[in-house]
Amino acid sequence: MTLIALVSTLLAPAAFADPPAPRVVRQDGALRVELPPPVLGDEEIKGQLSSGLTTTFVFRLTGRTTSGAALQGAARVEVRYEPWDEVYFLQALGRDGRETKQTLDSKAALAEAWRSLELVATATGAEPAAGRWRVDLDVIPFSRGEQRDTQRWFSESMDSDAGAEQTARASEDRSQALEEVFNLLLATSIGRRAILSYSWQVEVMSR
Amino acid sequence: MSRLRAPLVAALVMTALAVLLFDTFQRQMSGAWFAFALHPEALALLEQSMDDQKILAETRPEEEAAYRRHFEEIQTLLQRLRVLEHNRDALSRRYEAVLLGLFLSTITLTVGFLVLRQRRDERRLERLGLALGDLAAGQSDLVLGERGRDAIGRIARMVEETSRRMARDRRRLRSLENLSAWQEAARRHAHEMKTPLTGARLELERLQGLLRRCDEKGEPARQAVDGVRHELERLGRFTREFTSFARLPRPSLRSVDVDRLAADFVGTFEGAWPQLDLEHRPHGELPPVAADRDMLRQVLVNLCDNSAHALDGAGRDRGRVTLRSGVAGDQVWLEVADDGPGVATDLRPRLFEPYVTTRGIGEGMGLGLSICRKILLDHGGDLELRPAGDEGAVFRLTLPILTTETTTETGAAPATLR
Repeated sequence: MTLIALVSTLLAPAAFADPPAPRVVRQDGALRVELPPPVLGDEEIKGQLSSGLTTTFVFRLTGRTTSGAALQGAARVEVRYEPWDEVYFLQALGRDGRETKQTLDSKAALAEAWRSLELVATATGAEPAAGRWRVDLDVIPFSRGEQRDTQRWFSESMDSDAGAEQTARASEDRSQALEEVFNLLLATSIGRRAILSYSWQVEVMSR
Repeated sequence: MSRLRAPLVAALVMTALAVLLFDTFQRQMSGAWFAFALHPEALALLEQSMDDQKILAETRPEEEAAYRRHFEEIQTLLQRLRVLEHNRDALSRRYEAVLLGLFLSTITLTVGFLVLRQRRDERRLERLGLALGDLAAGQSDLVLGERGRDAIGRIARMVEETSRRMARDRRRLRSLENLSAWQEAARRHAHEMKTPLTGARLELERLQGLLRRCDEKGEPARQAVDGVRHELERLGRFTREFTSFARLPRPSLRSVDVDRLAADFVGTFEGAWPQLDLEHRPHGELPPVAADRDMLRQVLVNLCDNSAHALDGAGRDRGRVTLRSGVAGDQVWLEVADDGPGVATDLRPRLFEPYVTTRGIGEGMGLGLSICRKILLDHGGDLELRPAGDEGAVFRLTLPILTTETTTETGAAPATLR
């Protein structure tokens, strides 16, 4: 058993090891999440960040209110690298609706901004209870806008009559309608799956 | 259902094999296309191109805007390809699912259609079998209502045509049997009447001879003898009519063009009936029939006689008789239509029976139409009174079309009936 554990540890890539859990505190009747810095250090995420696509970090919190009712919270951070100007655009959105936008000129600046971010994850009015909360993080490799853009481009590329002269013959109209249905079925299979997912059980303290 | 089991099993096995082959093949194809479109070398080249644009912009700052535009275009393309790369499995699965779904739908619809058609054909064959049983049992004038153009439809129409011919032949046979019975009766009557007639005529001549040797005092007796002779002559005419009906000769069949026959009749007999205008409307493309021209002419003369008599009876001094022709199935028809008073409704069912007449006593035996119909029946055809409006009567003569092995009517040996 020890040998198996040793071999598994040697063979397991570093990415399989979860980064440390984010810190979640209760303050002013809301939960605040401090982003875990090692997340940015993940190799896959580093490669994704440099692709130019908008990498989206979605936090979901699951717990209870002080009265024992179930409560869910969420926050989102989007990071996009602009390769020409070599800058990072960071946009953070908390559950309270407050949006933070920053333009960072280096990875170090990005890491620093990431560390300093504190997002409100629950809405005002719901009194989150202290204690154990579940925190999930999904890393999605592109934004919804980029998804829709690719779907549209894919559909147009599949359309064989694009740019060709349309004819009035009923048989060609029917085949074009079928083709459009086919393109639509394929294009809608372009989804936004998370490339990485983490889950932690976090002890929420009051500040 | 047991009859459908074998084709159903075969269809299912073929479908399963087709689906398996299709799935295997198109999975390979779709995978190959995606691998081709998202080849790592292509993506690497695009990244290299982006870097090149930046380098060019640094070396030629005056064209930075253009290089940046190219850079962003390549970047957009690369990002889209990366999004596709991220969804490669989902795209492949969806592509395979759609194609497989289409293929399965097509197969299912085809199999379903074939099964339904098989069942429909089974029902049609069942109905056809019942109809053939009815035909074998002697039922005629069957109507199957089949409209299909396939083999079953053609067979059904053949069965219908056969039953129609059987019905027509049965009617002809019944008419022939009836007329034969009447002919036999007429022959006996004629025979019974001829002997005493001959005896009476001989006695009368002897009496005339005796009276000639008398003087003028025998004049009333001579007149009475003339009266008796006149009645005997009338009786003789009646006897001859019986005889002509009883001993109707068999037709001498030759190939005849009915249009030409009608044209010749109109040309020859125009003016024969002062109150009738004869008109001929030829068909133009009639196939030849096997007929006895003289007997057919006799029929036409009889019909025109009847038309003239009907006009006289209606108090009209002018009328028209039109001859028209055509083809119906395996027969040629010739219609003789007049514009006279027509045939009374109560007379129609019995019109062709012997001794049925509208003429007064002593003006005819009512055998004319019976003789005409017998002539047509002996030709393998028929004579019928067609439904007409209030104006006139229409008689239709039908004659079977001749086989192709024949000569023209100016020729030769008798042709053979079909």
